[in-house]
Amino acid sequence: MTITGDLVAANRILGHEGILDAYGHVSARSPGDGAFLLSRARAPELVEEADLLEFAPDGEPLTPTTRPLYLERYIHAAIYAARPDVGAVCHAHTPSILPFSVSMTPLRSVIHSARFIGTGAGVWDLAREFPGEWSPLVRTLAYGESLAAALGDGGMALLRGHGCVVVGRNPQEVVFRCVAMDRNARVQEVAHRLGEYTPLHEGECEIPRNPGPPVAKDNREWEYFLRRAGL
Amino acid sequence: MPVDVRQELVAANRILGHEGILDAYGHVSVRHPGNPRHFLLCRARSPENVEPADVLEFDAEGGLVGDSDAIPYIERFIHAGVYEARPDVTAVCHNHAMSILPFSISRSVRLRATINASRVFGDGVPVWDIADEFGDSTDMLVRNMEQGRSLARALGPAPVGLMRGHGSVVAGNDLRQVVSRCLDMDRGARAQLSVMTLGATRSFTDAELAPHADLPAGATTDDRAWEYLLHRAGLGE
Repeated sequence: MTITGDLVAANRILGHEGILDAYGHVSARSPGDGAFLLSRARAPELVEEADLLEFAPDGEPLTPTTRPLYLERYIHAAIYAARPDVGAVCHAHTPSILPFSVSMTPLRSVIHSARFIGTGAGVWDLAREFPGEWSPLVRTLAYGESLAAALGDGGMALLRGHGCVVVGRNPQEVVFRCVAMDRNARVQEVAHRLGEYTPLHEGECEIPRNPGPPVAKDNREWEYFLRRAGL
Repeated sequence: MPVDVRQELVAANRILGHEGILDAYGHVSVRHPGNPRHFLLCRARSPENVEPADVLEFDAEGGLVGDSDAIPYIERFIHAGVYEARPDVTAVCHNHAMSILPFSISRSVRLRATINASRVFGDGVPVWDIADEFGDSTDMLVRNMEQGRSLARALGPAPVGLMRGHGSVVAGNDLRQVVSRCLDMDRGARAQLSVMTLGATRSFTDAELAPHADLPAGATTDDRAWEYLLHRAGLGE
């Protein structure tokens, strides 16, 4: 499958699995002249190949367009610039992780499929990074760059009171990570209500930056999610 | 191998996928009817998508029998370990059901019998922590016989065991019982969570948790459940 096909599938799968809803977006590094591919402003579950646009490193469309664009495309622009190892980026408002974006209890790996989260997901707070400014949205490249700095070498970061960003080597890895993140957040929240719990040990978490091609393995997850999304 | 066992295994896969006990991952196996040291398990494919041609045979050490370039599940040693330790067990499911995962990491609460469906939990199901014997820097997968045997030791004679931060293993007399047990496990875990938020409980007594002697032999509800579950998974008559 082509990168555009994979990206359309990632949009539809993440919508179907409830990671993304009417909002949120997922992009892929561009193999062409631009920096990345991202849909026009449209709910991910409805995205088609014709909706994909090519964006420059500054987050503006490579070819001027009158179509409405996601206001927060600068999240993607800044992360692709800062992270050569990243091939796909998702920005989501998944309900399960939102409490952790506000709580002082860190979201951390508690199940093995979400090893990439690590011992505590960072929380980026726009109000703290830009005193005197307030914006509910990451609507400038400067905001995006600040968020990318907070992400650092990690696989994900939370946006206080807003959502998260999840990165991976390709759209498939971002899909698997988003699904695992959602499960992890739900398990951790319940375990926390039950009392004391044992999270993953540091050595059981993945090294946060993991460059290179994806490890060769069976592709059962992608087949599974494609079928569920009717693809 | 008899076709009906292979088909029953495929049906168990599809039912457990359809019911949300298994998702993209997890697996279910059955002892080989002709060679009880061996077992049948599908190639690495999501359970809801498996077909009869995906069924593979494995030996007592988890080795693939016969000529096949199919990719097996990495964690087939879970099955090999349980079959080796438990002659009474004929079918095994490894799953990551969401409802039991919090109990697999909780140090405060054990998954235990709360409702009839979860009576098999008794006063608490065993929890296996891979870090106890294999250190705190593994990827937490059961990758070899040594780890499979360690898990089987922790399971002991129990029908259900939890794996810390990972999932569960469910054992039974046959595929139908394992499927029913998986669903009961899920119901029991969810009921226990709800019960805890409601306050004081009416818990089962030890006498109520003792094995039932009052049910006539063969009074199993598993066949009724099987027909129902086949129907729900689109596999009915």
